[in-house]
Amino acid sequence: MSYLGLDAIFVVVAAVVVIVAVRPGLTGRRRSASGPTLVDRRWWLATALTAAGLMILTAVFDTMMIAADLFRYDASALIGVRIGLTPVEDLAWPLVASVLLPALWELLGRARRADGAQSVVRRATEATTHPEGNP
Amino acid sequence: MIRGLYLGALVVSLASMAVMDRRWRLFLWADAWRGAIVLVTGVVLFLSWDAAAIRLGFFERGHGQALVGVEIAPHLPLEELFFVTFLSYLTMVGHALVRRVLDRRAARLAVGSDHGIGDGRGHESDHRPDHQSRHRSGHEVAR
Repeated sequence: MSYLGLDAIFVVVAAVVVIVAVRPGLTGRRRSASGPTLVDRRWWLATALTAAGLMILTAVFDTMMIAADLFRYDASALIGVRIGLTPVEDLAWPLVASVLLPALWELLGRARRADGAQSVVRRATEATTHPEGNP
Repeated sequence: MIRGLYLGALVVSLASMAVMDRRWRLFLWADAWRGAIVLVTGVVLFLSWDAAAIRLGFFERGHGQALVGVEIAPHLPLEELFFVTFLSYLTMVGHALVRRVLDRRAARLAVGSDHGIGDGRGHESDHRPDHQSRHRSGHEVAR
């Protein structure tokens, strides 16, 4: 297995978590007619911007950290494409972080709301689909 | 290079995240229990990733002078624990901050008044009735 192959495993794990988060039917009470209720368009935009920002930071700081000899790579496990000194494989870390962790946060929020706590995200969605505010 | 510089930088960065988190109630200060689960998940996930990569021979520790030289496992420096914690914390603070700005922008477009980043009343923590209507309008604009 290469480092890229190992990355793929973690990317798949992140994808599974986000798929669960975007499908309210799996754990939520009801699928909204307007589509995903929990992970909406603005969530995706925030996630994309976070991922982009973290990937830039990763390329910059990894390069500095590799230059400072904080860690080393086995070159034979890498595909060989680098941004600065950063192997592209390292960019999977910020990608997985920015997708999986916020999705988990939303899922935990839904679990908590099922216990009676309220979320404006949820209420806003319900207010949109049920203007009378009574589910 | 100063010994411990990397660890010091990580601790300062973590503290900066905590300051922003507290100031704007973004993550642990928005929901401590939920945040703790997400943070621990991130740390376990990334340490597993490290452990697998080390075991497969992809990573090895460097010998840079900025490391304190303590390993929590073979080839896994103490600093890595702080790094994966910082990466997870930065991700969540960044995401919450971007989300907050996008929500406020959508709400501002909807009501035509001005709101800054604010005082920590987040989209998940505010129970004032007017916030709901603002949010609903934001939703309609976003579509």
